[in-house]
Formats: sequence, structure tokens, C-alpha cells
Amino acid sequence: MSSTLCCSFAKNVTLRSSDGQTFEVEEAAAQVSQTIKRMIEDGCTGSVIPVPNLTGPVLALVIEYFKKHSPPSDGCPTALLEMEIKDWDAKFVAVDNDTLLDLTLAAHYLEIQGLLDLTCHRVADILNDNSVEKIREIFHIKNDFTPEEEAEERSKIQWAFE
Amino acid sequence: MEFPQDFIAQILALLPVKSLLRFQCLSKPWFALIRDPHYFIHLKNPNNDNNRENILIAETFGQEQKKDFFFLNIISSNEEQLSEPVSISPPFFRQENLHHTSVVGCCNSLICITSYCITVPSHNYEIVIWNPSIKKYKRLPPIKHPAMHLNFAFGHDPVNNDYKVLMIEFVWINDRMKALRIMVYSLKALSWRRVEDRWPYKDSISLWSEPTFLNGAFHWLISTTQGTTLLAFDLTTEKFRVQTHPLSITMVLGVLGGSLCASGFIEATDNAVWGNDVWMMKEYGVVSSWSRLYHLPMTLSCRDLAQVLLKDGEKVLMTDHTDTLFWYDINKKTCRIADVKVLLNIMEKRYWIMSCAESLLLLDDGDSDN
Repeated sequence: MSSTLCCSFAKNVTLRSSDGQTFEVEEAAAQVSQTIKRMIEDGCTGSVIPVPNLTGPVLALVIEYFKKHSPPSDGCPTALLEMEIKDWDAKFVAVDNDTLLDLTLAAHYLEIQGLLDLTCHRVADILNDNSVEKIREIFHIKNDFTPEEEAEERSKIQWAFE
Repeated sequence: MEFPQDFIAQILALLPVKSLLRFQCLSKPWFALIRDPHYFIHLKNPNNDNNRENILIAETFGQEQKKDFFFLNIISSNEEQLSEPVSISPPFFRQENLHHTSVVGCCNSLICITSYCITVPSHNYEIVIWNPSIKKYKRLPPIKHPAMHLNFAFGHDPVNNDYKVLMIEFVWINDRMKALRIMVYSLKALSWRRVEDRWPYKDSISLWSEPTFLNGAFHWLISTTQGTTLLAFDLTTEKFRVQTHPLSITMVLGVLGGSLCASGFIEATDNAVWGNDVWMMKEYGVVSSWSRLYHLPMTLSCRDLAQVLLKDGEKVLMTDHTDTLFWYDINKKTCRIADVKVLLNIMEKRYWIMSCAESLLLLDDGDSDN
């Protein structure tokens, strides 16, 4: 069967971002995304795969993630490799907040559970590490409490601010 | 950056409850969101580092009835390590002049505690359900006209997602116990209700074990003139069920590694020295699945059944008669004192095991002394 023969070579697919940039990536790596995996299985590989929800720079980042997380050709990942990937992941999401949001949405759209977990953990860390005032600033949250209301709510849970 | 609203539940589930409490002050929509009961489920999220499988609680009794609770994590199942204990004083004890307190049970993030006067227990007592992770508690309404002796149990009804306290009133007649009224308190209904089902033993009984909560039911080993039976009270149906019990020796009941376990004293035989045999009901509800787990020599003289079985199935965590915590290696038959430096010098203490750690339960309708 010809399809079996094809798979012994590194087969590439082309992804196109919303702003028309194209990227070539190994098919096995792109299948880290469940969305792309389904498109490949449905036979969309012949032409370019459109990724209309992602801009070029974001798609470029996601492809970096694909490459790092594509299944190793020689079987099971070693513990050492897993450690290295974990370190790489931590650096990968240490980005500015807007990029972090873009990556979260991209992970959701492309169904990349690992990346979604990673970005959600990063957002949780940002929340955890910052004061209420700073969080409002970072995420543009409008404080609609009156000063009296806020002071009252704070006083009820004073220990949580210590 | 706009907050990724679609993933808010996923993100909040990763945070310690102390942070969630602070985020109530971000804005009114956040306040409503954190108080939405939907998010209460966030406990048991396996990705949350704040939720551990086993939390050890040490209850200590200091000078002038001052009482403290220490919380410890069992860090790693291989290293048998315990974290440094964190002391949490229950707020409701400061105001009350309590004569005697007792942990009824721990379930998910909640602890049920009773306090009473030791001479007339039923006439002067209090029951509190406490969520230490958010420092909130609920004082239960007292039962009207209680009998002389009260027995309590605390657990979770998984079908109705409700926490319930069972109270059995009883009297002693000729050294035998006779059950009278049986009531259930529902944390959802915030009230006591009489249980319709009847106590299944016509004759009064001579001995029963402390209630053990597992799989949505309380369990007791009951000695009757006909032998020993396993009694269960289902928290969803609020009905009793009685099962035959294959072991005749006097037993203590407990939970180890998610299974019902019983421990009882046996005399020396050719194969074993004096001590305790520990049995496990490997398949819940299946009488024939009771099998012997290990034997504990009498020299170790433990008081209660072990409360933690490590994942490798080879070590259990237990206390000896001096309430010192130690690991017992089932195969090697060796023991090692568990390293909890702060607590070693406290003479009067008792340990309790609780799974999971944090939740926002009682946030809305709980009281606090702050």
C-alpha cells in the first residue's frame, strides 16, 4: 500500500496563518494539535491547511511547541528528556501577557491540551504572585466596588491578605 | 491582557483557596464568580498542588485545655516524609469553655468536632463543622431533649453532594447498649431530621467499634449474642444494612488504602507471636474478600488501626500506645519513628487522617470569629 510507504519518510504539511504567512512542519509534529490531526485524517494534507484564528507570529510560536512535543521517532521518551521538556515549557510560557493570552486561545482552538494546561498554570501563577491592585491592572479588571464595600469585604478575610 | 474568560474555571481550580478569597475583592463579577457553588467542586483537582491525597491532622491538648490542630502533608510515598506541621487554632474554641473535645471525623475539606462536658455529656455539648482552609465553621443546632449518651459520625453523601452528621442516642442497660433515637443533620438543609429506618438489632448489644466512613456509608463492627456483624448506614438512602462478618475476634475498624480494614488481637500460635491481625475487605461489600493483610507483634502495642497505607502497599503509618507516630514495614516487620520534631515532645495528642485539603465549602453560610 502506498500510504504505508509514505509514512517511512518525514512527511511535511503546510500551515497558513490568518495574515497569509505559510509554515512547513512535519506532519507528525503538527498532529500534536487534535484539530490539525483530524484535518490530516480527513485528507486535507494535499493543499495548504488554513489556520485562520492565528496570526503569523503566534503560529510560529505554536510550531516551536509542536517540534518540541512531537512524539520521538525512537520510541518512549526518557526521564531526562521529560525533564528537559519541562524546563523548555517553563521558558516557553515566560512571555509577555498578550502573547500568553494568544497562546491560550491558540491552544484551545487547535486543541493542544498540553499547551492549554501550561498556559493556564502560567496565568494561575500570575494571579497568585500579584496583589489585587496589580491583577486589576494586568487583566484590565474594573473595580466596581465602592471604597467602603471593598474595605468591608477585605476586613472579613483579613488573614488571606497576610 | 484580557482575562481568558473561557478558561476561568480551569485556572481558578489551580489556585489555593487563600488566593481565591483575595480575588473576591477584585470586582463584583469576580466576587459572584468565586461564590458560585459551581466552583466549589474545585477540590480534588489532581493538578492542584494544594490538594494532597493524605493530610495528617494532629490534635494536641496543651495547658489549660488549650487546643491546637497541626496539619502535615505526607510528602512522598517513597521517602515516607512528613512536612513541617502547620498549626491552626480553631477559632471557635477560644470563646468556649470546653471540657472535652473530640474529632468526629474528617471528610474532604471538612472536620466535624464535638465538645461536651464529660460528666453530663448530653446536656452540655456542641457540634461544629469546620473548614480550616478558609477558617469558617458551622455550629449545629442542639438536639432537643437528648438522652444520656450520644454517638456521632460524619461523612459525605455523594449522590446529593451533601455532608451529614449522624447522631445515635443510646442508653446502657446492664452493660449493654440500647439505641434510641437516630437523627441526621444535613449541611444542605441546615437542620436535623429523624431517621425513619430502625436500628437493626432487636437485642441490646455489648460492643461496637468507632464509626468508619467509606463509600458514602458509615460502618461499625457490632458484637451481638449471635456473633459479630458489619453494620453500615447508607448516607444517601439513610438506611441501615447488616452484613455477616467472617472474623470472630474483637476488632477495630478503619480504612487503609481505600478499603475497609479490621484489626484484632490474636493469641500466640505456632506461626505467630501475640499481637494484632489486620484484615482487609479487598472488594467492598463482598464478604468472601476479607483477607489477612499483616500481623503486628504485640511488642509494638499500637492503640488504633493504622491510617495510611503507602502506595507500594508495604508500609503503614500508625501510632503506638504513647501516641508516637511511626511507619511499620509490613514485609520486613520493622518500624521507624516518623519524623515530626515539633510534635515529639507533646505528650497528649491524637492523629487523624484526611484526604484532600482545601475547598470553599461554608464560604457563604459559615461563621468566622475574625
